[in-house]
Amino acid sequence: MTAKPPPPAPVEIARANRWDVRIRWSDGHQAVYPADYLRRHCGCAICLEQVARRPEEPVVAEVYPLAIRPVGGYGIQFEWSDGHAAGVYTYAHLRRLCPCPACREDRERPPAGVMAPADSPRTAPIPWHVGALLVAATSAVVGVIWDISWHRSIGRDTFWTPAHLAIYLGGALAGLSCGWLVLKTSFAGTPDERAAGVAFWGLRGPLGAWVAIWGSIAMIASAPLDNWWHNAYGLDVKVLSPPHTVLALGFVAIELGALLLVLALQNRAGESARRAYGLMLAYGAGILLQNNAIMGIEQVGFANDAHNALYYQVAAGAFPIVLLAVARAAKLRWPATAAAASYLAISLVMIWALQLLPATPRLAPVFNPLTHMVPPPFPLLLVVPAFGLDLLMRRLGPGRDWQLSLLAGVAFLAALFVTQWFFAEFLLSPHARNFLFGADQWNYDSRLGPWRYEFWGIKNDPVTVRGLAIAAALGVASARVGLWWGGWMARVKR
Amino acid sequence: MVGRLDGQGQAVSRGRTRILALAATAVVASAHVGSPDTYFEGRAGPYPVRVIIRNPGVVPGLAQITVRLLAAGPIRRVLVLPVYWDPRTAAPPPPDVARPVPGDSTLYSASLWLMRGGSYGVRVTVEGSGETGSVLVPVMAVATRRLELGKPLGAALLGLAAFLSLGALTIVRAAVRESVLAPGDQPDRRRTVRARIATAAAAALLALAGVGARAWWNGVDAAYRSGLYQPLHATAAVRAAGSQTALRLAIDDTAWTNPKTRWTPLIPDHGHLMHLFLVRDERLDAFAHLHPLPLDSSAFEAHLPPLPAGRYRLYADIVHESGFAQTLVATADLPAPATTWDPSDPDDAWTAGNRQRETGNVATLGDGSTMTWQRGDGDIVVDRAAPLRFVVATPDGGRATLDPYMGMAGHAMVARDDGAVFVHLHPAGTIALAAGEAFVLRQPGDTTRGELAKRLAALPAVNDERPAVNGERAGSVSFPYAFPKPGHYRLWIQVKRNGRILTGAFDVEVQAAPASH
Repeated sequence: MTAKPPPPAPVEIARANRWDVRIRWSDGHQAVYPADYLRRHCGCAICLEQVARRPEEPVVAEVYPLAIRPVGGYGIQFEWSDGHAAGVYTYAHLRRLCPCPACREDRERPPAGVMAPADSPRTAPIPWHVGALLVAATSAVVGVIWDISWHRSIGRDTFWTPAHLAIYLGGALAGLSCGWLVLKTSFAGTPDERAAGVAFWGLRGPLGAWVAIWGSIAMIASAPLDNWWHNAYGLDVKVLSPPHTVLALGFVAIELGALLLVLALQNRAGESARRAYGLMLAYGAGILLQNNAIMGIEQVGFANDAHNALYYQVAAGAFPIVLLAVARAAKLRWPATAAAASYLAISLVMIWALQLLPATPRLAPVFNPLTHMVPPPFPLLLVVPAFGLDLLMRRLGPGRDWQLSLLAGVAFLAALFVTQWFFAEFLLSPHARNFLFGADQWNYDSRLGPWRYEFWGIKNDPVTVRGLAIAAALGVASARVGLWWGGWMARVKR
Repeated sequence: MVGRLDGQGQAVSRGRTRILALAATAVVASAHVGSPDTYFEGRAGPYPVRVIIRNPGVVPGLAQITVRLLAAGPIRRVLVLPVYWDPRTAAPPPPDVARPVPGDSTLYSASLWLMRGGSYGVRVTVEGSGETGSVLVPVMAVATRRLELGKPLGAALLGLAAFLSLGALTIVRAAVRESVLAPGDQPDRRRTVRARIATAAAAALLALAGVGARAWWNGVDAAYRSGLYQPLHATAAVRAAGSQTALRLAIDDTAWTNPKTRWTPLIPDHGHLMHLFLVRDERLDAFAHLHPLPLDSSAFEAHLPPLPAGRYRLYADIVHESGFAQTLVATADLPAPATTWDPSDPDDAWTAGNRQRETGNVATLGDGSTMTWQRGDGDIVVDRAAPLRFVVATPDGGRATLDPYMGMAGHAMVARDDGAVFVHLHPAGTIALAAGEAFVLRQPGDTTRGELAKRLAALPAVNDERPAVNGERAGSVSFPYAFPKPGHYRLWIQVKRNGRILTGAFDVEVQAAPASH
């Protein structure tokens, strides 16, 4: 007869984020317990009675623990944000509740001799419409980068350039797939599918699908306006014009739609699936960062701008909002860093791919003869400040968002400033004038001159203490909005 | 993409955008008043062609070009290529192949991309079975009009905006009310109230965004309108000069006098820096074509012929070194005519009388010869090739032999009653010949202002009549043109015979284009 091993006990109980609790056990097992899951499994008499009486009664969706206290040597007690604090969660109860897929599978496995159900929740299922929407968002952002390069290299375009087709393919794919999804959910959906949607003008579908459909319609609506605009005010070769803004709103909505669809899956999924969804979210956030960089190309696009104050002000306003939102919403270890890395990867792929495409300018005047497409300017090294933000988020738990925003805004600016100031100097040096960095490649209608290697606007808009203070304030505001937005996204379940 | 990237914008601070805009208009110009399209007739090597280029009215924009081959012959293809005036331009882009217009074997058309305001030369190349010939047609890329938003499109856009706004509000409502609930959960009362508040806040935000969008649009519109082409401002003054009267025209535009703006110097066109036309207001019954001499870089003076007193419209044609031609506009009140007139230039000429609107086709000229307008029987319609062909006969009825007048078989001036249109035409069309010369003679080193002008001025005066195209015979002259607007016009046709400049005046009522074909 062998000695029975002692039951496993927690060696670490810590918050995974504002809501969820991470428990590491003495036998090496570990899992993250979602707050609402724990709250629903409170074993106190009041709750048991309530569940017995009204089993349908939901717990407040965004409940989170205000405090976690040990009880004796056998359990813990939560003080919940909904005011409840009576239940004691024994270690044994917690271990039985373990939400990790393996334990779940063990619990759900029928007694020996009965076949196990085929579908296990171990992997993250990706519904086809989520895949379609991610492809649509990718297509749109690739199209936009390609189109800008097209205007800088070839100049002349028609509706049928591959860049335009990629943009509109994104719109069409998003509109059709989500349109089909909401029609199917509304008229032929199972009760579960309908329950997982939100109401919209008598129809039902996931929130992300509605946002993407809206974006698809906005993209279509921008077309006649754009056409008229070209006839009225000339072919605007500007990134930001009113019709382009409507178009941009459209594809930003498609990207947000993709993000929301993944969020709903992540927030309803078990622990192991969450990582796959988290990576998808980081990728979606990378596309959003890419968007902000494209819209700010005139201020933060070129390394030549990196020594003036506006550069840091625009960057501090545009990027923390996305980085902190994804840091709060994505269930990943390094969400902001992963998003910034996605942004970097998209840029690099585009920089390298475009340089491989031959191109001849097709509009006079040509001041700068080209033989291949002009790549986009080298991206900002957002991974550095993003890594800092992730570290900060780990140190500073939830519940102190104002303090966190203050630190995050300032930290972002500081890390970005130190990185970009010197990296920009490198990008203007001969060492960056190669395929890898794609620096020093200019429009066909640029009159090349020493301005290529100079910092622009340093006389009119030098970096001053005041300028940096404005940038920091923008960074803090951007971070605060990002946390608020991310907090909502962390709870989206439909 | 961005002004920043051309290396000039970045040298200029944001606060000086206005100056940039001025600099932009500085290279933007158009010869003639109210007639932005280009008509050209000439030879592309061995092939006589008529080229029409329709100004898009906006810059950057697409101009439509048609090339008509005036002689039959096997043609392989027709190429068109706009060339920007700037000598720093690198190799031009590849030319476009003009497509044959279906149903018309001698007509080819293409779209021209005019991306910058200013002077372009469009190289038209005709590739035949054997020879290849090309010719350069100067064209001005210039914003001339502002498009109104049509009612149906405006309503459609407004409808779309309303639809999208409602959709956005519904999304906000759903996001707050339901999106964070686990599937199947129903929103409680608190959540419903919060959703209502959020929707109202979003509606307020949307309204603000609408106001902002409107302000943005208006701003773009105002900037566009301020960048619409305006000729340099000029002022005329009349003064007594002994027994003569002198007319001084001064270019008093700061864009011209300010050395920082990018106007290039003037070059002579048919040997004259300025061609000044005087037309008596409204009645159009007195006309002069003078060539004022430059007093300095901005003032020009000419002795006035004995024109009847009254208010005159002044149109001054000038050509810049970049090849762009423009017509300055001014008015002057002329006093009673002076007793003597010693022309400041031998090519000066004038005519008066013809008070009634004559619709006759025959004008008697100063030396007793006659000029007949072979206008045909049909109406003259807006935007359709006008039959501007004139035959000069000696007093005894024979065909007159014409001398070249400033290098041309003839000059035609076209003015509408209200002054909204004024054009100076040659047998080669609406183009200023000097503009074409500027393109042909420019060299890559011509980055210093005035270099090209010096070379042009050093050229011997061209006084050889260009070979007639389209089988023109002696004693006749024709002009390729289409009237841009309906209304009453007067034409003055000037030719030279036996050393004397003769002016014939004609009137024409131009009809609006029929609603359907």
